[in-house]
Amino acid sequence: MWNKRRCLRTESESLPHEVVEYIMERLPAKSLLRFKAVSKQWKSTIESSFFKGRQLIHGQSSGDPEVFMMCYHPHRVKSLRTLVVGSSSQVEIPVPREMKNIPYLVCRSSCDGLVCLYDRWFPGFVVNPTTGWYRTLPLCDLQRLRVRLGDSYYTLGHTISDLGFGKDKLTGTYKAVWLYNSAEIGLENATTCEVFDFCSNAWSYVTPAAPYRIAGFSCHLQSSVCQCRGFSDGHVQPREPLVRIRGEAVV
Amino acid sequence: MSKKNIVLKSSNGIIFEVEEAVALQSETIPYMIEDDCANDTIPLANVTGDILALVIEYCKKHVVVADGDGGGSSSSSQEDLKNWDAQFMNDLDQSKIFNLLLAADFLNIKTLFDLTCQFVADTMIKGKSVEEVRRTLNIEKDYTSEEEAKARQENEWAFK
Repeated sequence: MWNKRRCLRTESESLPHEVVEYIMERLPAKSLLRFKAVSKQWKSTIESSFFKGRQLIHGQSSGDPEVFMMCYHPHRVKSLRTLVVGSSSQVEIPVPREMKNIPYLVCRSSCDGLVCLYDRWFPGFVVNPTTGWYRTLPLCDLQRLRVRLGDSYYTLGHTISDLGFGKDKLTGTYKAVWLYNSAEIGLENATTCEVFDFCSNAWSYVTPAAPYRIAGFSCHLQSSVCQCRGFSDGHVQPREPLVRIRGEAVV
Repeated sequence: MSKKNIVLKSSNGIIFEVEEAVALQSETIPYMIEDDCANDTIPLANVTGDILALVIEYCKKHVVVADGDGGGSSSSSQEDLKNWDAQFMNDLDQSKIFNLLLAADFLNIKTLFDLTCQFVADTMIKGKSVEEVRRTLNIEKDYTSEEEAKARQENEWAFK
């Protein structure tokens, strides 16, 4: 990319677009969204997956301010807010209207500035606090089972894990993953693993899942392999930073 | 042992003689030395004299001191270099900045290219209006009024 020889040029008052793209990748996501209105070429650049990737890599290496996500209200999450460290300016995260009064759990693994909010009964969603973009996650089979069983689910003594969220480094797609014990709910093998793929917009089973039973763990995605890392309960604590968000995605 | 010098010639015929270590911050120049004869002048048909003077000023400041000083690259000198870079960019007008950026790209001097891109992004583009960006970068508006209104509406949030 560096050793492209350029055609003869002397004094110049404008820049070729391929050079402008290097400037664009250094802009924050909010500016880029606004500048889709500059020209058709800018719009197509900003929307291209190649550019998005470059912009993300740049944002992560240049030490942009980290964003901490906070719970606005301990029990009824009317809105979630981000607190930009340093400037202390607060931005309200847009939460889908139909999901406003549900207390959500938050995946601790934030990725590319995206945050995954979920519930064990209701559909969760992934939100980009920088741009307001969000995508609803449909119910997975485990959640459907819980809805079907209602309160009798609790008599099974099934341990619920936390939802993991991350990026598949091989395919570059975002994925959400549940990993849970099988025996209590009459499934085969030690554990069952369901993965949501944002490209196909569907949950699917990963086989084989982890060979040993789990207890109070959360899943993290790395290179399409589920990795378990133990930590305490993932419930939202009021006024406590929840997720460290690095980088900004232009989704 | 005497240090080897390299002679560079700008598009408008101005000659600069610089130490090899200064010139070799450009990743393009070694190829030109290979292509031509090492003792000859290297013609840089894309870079005018005033811009080449700026490039050389930058490269002289950033040349890595290989011997002497006994490892003097302390954090304070890094800090000094950053301040020097900021002052260097601040003293330039828009036309010079653009031509410096093109020269850094052509000569493949990564640190100067990064510095200039970041400066343009931070001071001339970020936080500006759509119209200001078009004016600064000399970009023709190729949207119809309806298309532009739609593009703005889709990202209304980002205009606040």
